Amino acid sequence: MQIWTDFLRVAVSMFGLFLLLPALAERMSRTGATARFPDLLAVGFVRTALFLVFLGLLLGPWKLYLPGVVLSAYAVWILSTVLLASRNGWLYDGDAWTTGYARLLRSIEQRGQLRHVWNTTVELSQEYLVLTMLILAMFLHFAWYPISNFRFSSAAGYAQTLALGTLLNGSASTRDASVALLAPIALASGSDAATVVRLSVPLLYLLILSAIVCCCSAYSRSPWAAALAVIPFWLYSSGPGKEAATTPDGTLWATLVLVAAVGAGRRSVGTACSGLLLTWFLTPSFPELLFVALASLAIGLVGDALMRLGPPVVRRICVAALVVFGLFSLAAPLRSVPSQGPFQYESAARAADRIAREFPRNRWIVVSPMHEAAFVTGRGWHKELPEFLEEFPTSAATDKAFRLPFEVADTFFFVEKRPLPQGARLAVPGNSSNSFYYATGPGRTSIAFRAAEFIAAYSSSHHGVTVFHEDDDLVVYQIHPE
Amino acid sequence: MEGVTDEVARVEFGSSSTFALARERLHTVIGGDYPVTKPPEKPRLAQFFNGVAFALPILICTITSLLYRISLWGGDLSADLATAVAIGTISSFLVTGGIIQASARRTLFQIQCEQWDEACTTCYHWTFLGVKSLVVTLGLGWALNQYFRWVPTPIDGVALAFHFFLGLLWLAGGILYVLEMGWAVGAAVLAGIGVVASLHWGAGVSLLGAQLAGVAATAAIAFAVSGITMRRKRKQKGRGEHFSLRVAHKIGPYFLYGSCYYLFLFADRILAWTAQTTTSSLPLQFRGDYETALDIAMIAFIVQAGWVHLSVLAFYRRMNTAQEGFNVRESVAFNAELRRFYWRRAVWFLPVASALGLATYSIAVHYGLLPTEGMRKVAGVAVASYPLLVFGLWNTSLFFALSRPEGALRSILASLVVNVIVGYACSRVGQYDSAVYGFAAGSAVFAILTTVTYLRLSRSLDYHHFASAA
Repeated sequence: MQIWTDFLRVAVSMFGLFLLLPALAERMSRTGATARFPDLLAVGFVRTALFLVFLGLLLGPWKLYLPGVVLSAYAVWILSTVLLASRNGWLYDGDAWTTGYARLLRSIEQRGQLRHVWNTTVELSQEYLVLTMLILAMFLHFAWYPISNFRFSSAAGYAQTLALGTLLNGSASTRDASVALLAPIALASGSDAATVVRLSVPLLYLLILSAIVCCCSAYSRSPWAAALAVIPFWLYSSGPGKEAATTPDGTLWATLVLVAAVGAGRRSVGTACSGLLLTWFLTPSFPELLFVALASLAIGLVGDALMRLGPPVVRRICVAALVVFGLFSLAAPLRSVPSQGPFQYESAARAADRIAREFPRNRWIVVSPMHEAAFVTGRGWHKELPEFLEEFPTSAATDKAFRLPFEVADTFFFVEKRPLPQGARLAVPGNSSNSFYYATGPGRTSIAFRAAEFIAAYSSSHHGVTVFHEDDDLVVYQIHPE
Repeated sequence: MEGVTDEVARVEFGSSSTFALARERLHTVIGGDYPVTKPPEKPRLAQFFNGVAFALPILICTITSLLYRISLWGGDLSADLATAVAIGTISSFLVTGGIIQASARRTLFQIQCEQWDEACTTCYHWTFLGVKSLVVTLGLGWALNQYFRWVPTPIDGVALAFHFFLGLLWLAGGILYVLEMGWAVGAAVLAGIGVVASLHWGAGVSLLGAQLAGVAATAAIAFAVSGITMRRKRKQKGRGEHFSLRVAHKIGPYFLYGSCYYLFLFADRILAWTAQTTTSSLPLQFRGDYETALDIAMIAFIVQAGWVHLSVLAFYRRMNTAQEGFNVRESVAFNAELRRFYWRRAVWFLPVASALGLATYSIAVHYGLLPTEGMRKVAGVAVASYPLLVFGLWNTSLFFALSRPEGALRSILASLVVNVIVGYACSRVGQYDSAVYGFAAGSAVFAILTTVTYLRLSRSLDYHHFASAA
């Protein structure tokens, strides 16, 4: 239940901050009053994302991209969209506020008009219904891993979570443009960094798919073109090695931004240019996914144009076959995703998250391998296990006078009963000096053994040691000194 | 007297002015001496105490806290509980501030029209609206805390309890100020502190529980006194003024000003309490030293604020005198005379207020009430800023007297923005106590903007005075 609540929070914050509010602000501007709402969504999204990335890159190196600055800057951005571009002349017309206030009160009095708006029904054709179900099925496919797993599948996920966590805690800078985009979502949703990083991935994929559909609709007005476009994109992005993408990296954002800009490009060349500029900011490497999205868009449009030449029945059969193929592909199990690792046990990630949620802020410390730090940063303290064992050997723990040197109420000690299998090929985030212990089999085994030895010695000579969590792979001890 | 100018009154009726002619005609109409007696004026000292009565709860609590270590709120509490009490105190001001301002505006208008029946009912409606707002914000605060998890569960309960009971106290106090019964607020606060002392020292109740009971008792006493007084004043139950969209249109600027003013007053505290909280157990940490320094500076502010009340009354007296002294063609001279009066008060006020602030600061330093350099910095900047704030408040009072609240609203909004931006930047780049610079910058902007607005207004003061009476 908790994961669905978190998901809802992140989704509402992301859609509200990047789509709904900017679009409503654009609607109040001089040019936005007559525009189509999907165009406004695209324009608002591209401009807001560009603004936040630019702000993050400008202030981040000076350690000024602070939570208060992020929220204030966002508020100023939305307000300035309304104030500067509004027909009412809020800034230079002294009477605009007085008349605006009177208009607001009058609109409250005339509530009947509002009721009319709410009673409007949306008509959904059969084709669009099939398309919507297809996109939802694809979204659930993308959401499967982040919702059922807390751990990340790449080192970048841990690095990004650490960067976002320290930023939210008001103590660090960022040079990562995608972290700058995630910060407002985390602040508005009240969620922790790991949750936002993990759950924003499927939402971004959903937005990309929706943007592709909107683009196709804008250019061909055919749902079949949209279906033709989303299937190749989905086949690529859920292909081998990409099934468990858990990090909203720059490519994902850039893809979304440019696809949105393409859709809005019919109305505004400036928006398309903004999208290109943002893509350049967000993706220092080759934006592969972006070209796939644009190619998929082209395939959809060209395929639809070709099918128009033949009889309608053939066209429908072709597209229906594609949709069925897509739905069958969705059902394919994620065979290549391992159930544990590669950096930590799933239960270790869940235990760290549970500690952070259940215990008061900054009144506890986790002693564990470094990957749990991503789940506790900004909420509590973390000490790397190898460093701890260097400082406090097992012989010290047997002494009854020995006290843990942490000024906290609780210490959580992570011990792997079965050391997580490691190959020395894995990268370790944060340039840790303890790569040997984390990324090699012998190193991981030795640190797990020494940790078990320490806690056994400590619990034999001290009171207040209890088991907080235990399964076949991991045991977490809670030390609460009397 | 429609169409009769001073010229017509002099040439055709032989009177010196329209006012003189009106007085003579009235004399003829009612067939006797028209009583031109003015209502007896209160002594200056009483007027001054009326002006400072709004701050009696804070003043009394600060003094009893310093002398006897007991108060209606705060005192010897843990850091987390002190934070909860501080949150509750600030939020109660923010929620009730605008309502009290709006209620006072409408109720005072009816009292001045001697419509006590209507005034009592209007005041009741507004107070009930305030209570409903407190209940709604109580639920909203709880829901927001559940969503964002700012503070853990026992702490949020304390904050919400103080929010509700202190909000009731401010609402009850607001009624007593309208009735010019500031002394009753002081007496109720003293009785409340008595309840706290007897429960805590006598019955061994925890300080927090005793304080909650004390605040509730103070609010109950204040409500009882105001209710009895109102009941005596009114003859029958009036219809009063219900909250409606038309009332919202008239009162909106006053309401918004009240809320923004309290936000302005507390913005630097909120910024200081949220700065450098990376290692603290709560994202918002009460800073006792910052609060103490501001409380000491506030003593000077309270005395200076008494001057505002006196000055507004003096301004009105001067305006009435000038109105009778100038004829309709001398509006320029009339406006110039009142501008001269304004500047005379300003020239007297600023040095005297600064000297008062300096004396407060020196006494506090001499008696060791500001032991750290940070506290001295906060108190020093605050006593330097309060005269500017008070000067701005005087201008605001004149705007309200002339029914021109837009200038006050624009000024407080701009000052609030400056306060927050400067305070945030200073407290994040420097130490948390540098948030006080935001307050100083905001006060300076408030004083400047309100003065500029008033000077513009004073060019056609005759018109605004006439329009406000219409």
